[in-house]
Amino acid sequence: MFLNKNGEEKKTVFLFPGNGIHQTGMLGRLCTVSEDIRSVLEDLADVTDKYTDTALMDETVEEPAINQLRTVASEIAICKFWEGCGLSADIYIGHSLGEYAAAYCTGILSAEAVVKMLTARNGILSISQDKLKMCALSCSEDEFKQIQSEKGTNAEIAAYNSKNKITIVGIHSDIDVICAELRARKIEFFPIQVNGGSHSLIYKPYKEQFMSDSGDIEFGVPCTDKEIISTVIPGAGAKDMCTKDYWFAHIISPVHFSDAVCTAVDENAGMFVDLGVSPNTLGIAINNVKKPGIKWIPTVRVGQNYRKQIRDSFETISSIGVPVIDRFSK
Amino acid sequence: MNLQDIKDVFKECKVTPEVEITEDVTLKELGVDSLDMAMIVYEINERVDKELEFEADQTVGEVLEYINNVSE
Repeated sequence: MFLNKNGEEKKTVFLFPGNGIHQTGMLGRLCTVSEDIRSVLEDLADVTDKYTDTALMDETVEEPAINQLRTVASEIAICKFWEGCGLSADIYIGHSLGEYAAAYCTGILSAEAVVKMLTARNGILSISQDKLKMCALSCSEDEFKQIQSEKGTNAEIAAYNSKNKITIVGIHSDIDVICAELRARKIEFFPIQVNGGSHSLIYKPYKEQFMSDSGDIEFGVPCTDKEIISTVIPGAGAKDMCTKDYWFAHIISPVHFSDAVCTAVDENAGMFVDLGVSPNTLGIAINNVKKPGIKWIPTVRVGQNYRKQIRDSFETISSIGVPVIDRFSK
Repeated sequence: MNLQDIKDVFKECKVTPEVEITEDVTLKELGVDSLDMAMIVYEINERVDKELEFEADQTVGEVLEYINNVSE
C-alpha cells in the first residue's frame, strides 16, 4: 500500500507477461542490471537444470521448453529485484505463462513445481505445435464471433485482453481465413510469435498426460499479504491454484486478463508495474482503465538501455511518494 | 491544452521524442510505440478529464485541435 498525492491508500499491482516477450539473450542482459538479479537467476537455474537438458543460463541454445522457463525466470528475477528495492506488491496478475511466475512469487508454486508443470505443459502443447497458431486482433469479441459465423471457422478466443483486443488460437487454415477477413475490414491484427498455440480446448483430452507427466507436486502456502488474481478462472483464489487441476485448466481455458485488471482497479489499485523484459501487459492493461490517477511503470523496454529505463521507473515511483532503494551499485 | 502541455505529457510519461515536438509532426514520427501511445492517451485524458482516442498518424496539431474542441 502507498499513499497517493491526495493522501489516499492505494495498492501496487505487479503484472507478469506471457511467453511472447521472450528475447534471445535476455537473461544475460538482465544480469548486467544488478547482482541481485543474477543471484536470483542462478538460484533458479540450480533447480531447473536438474530437470532440463539445456541449462537455463546457456542462452546459445534456444528451444520452446527452455525459453518458456527463461521467460518465467526473468519475471521472477525482476519481481525479486523490485522487492529488494523496497517495492512490494499487494496484487499479482499473470498473463498466460506469466501466471506461473506470479504463482511462484506469491508462494503457491516452488521452482521445482514450476519446472515440472511447465515441462508437462510443453509436452502437451508440442502435440499441436505445427497445427495451431495464435493472432492478436483489435476487435471486439462480438465482431470476431460474427466473422467466425460468416466464414465457418472454429478458432477460439485465447485471451480477453481488453474490450477491443483479443487473442485467438486455431488451426492455420482457420486463422488465415479470419486474418484475410480482418484485412478486408481494415481491422488491425498481428500474428503472435510463439510455437503452436495454447489456451485451447484442443488439449482437453490430454489431462491424464499432464497429471502423469508433471509428477508429484508439493504446493506451497500462499502468502497472506499478497493477493493473486486468477486470469484462468475469474474469482479463483490462491488456494484454488494449489491443485494440478487448476494448472491443467490453465492450458485449455482463455486468459481473462481484462477482468483481472478491472478487479484490481476496483480493489483500489494505484500503480501497475510490468515485470517483463518487454512491457506488453502494461499497454494492454491501460486500455482497460478509464479511472484517472493510476501510474503505469515499465521495468525494462525493448531497444532501450535496461539501466536507464529502470532509473526512469525509479524516478516515477519516487515522485509519487513510494520509497524505493537504488540497488544498482550492489 | 497547448504545445507545451503536450511536451509536458511526453516528459511525464518518460517518452523521449525522436524529433522535436512541433504541431506538424505525427505521433508516429515522434517515435511513439504502442505502450507510449497508451500512456500518453491515458495522461492526456487524465488532464482533460475525457475519454479521447488518438491515432499514431495524427499530427500533434490535429491532436491539440481535437482535444481543445471536445474540451470546450
